[in-house]
Amino acid sequence: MATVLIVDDATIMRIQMKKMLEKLGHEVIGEAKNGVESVTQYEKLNPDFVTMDITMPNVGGVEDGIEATRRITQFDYKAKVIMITSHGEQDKVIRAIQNGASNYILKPVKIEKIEETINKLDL
Amino acid sequence: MDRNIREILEQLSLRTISFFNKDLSLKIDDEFQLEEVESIDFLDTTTFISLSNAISGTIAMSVSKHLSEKMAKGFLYGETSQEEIDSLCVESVTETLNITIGNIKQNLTITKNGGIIDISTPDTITKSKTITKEQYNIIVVSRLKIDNEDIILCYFI
Repeated sequence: MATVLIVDDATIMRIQMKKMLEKLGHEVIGEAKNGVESVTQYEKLNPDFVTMDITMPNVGGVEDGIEATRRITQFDYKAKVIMITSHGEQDKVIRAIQNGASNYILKPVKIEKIEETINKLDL
Repeated sequence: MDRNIREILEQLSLRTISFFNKDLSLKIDDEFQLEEVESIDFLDTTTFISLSNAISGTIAMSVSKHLSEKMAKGFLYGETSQEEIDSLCVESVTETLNITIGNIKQNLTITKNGGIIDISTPDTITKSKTITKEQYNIIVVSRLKIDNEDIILCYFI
């Protein structure tokens, strides 16, 4: 069982992800709806891993999930961040990996894919 | 009909059918027809996403409130309260269009030929709205059917 921080600007996607993660036996210890919140929450909660939506509104100078990931992994170089993207855009995924993301999942998110991706995290 | 618009709406219709069937567990008819129309009346909840760069225009997905509630239930894994459904039914439409457009983008001929299509953040309204050819040059509609209800997919420019 791992502790998780969920980051997504859409409430419905956070709830969907939370239900799937809890079904897999993980504990969701925090949620954030933008990049700024995610960095603050990460520093406060120190979760085992983060699920991070790539596309989120620019709040407080953190323009998207990629920038939030960069800040989180700058704070903790061991941080594990799974990017969630609805666009399957290779360039965004590559930039996210270059900025410290561990892996990515394409929307629509399936519980089997989450499980498979978490198993690769080396928690 | 412009072949790019036709391709986008055909692929979006097919992806929407697949998304409803497999991801929302909502059985939907697998037939649809594209038609250019003079005007369209949107339903209770409508999400708009604009495309720019290699192609321009706006795509809309419009459904009844009743169907948006079913969609929200489909999104939420496991037990769900009516209160949760009520609060999330608008987002269910927003996310459905956001996901399905994202999914088809890579398969479009324009993209395969190296064109870049930028997708705006979604904008969703929960009031009736009509668009006409007096406002837009082209309005193309695909109507999907689910339990005698319409899902309107529309491309206008």
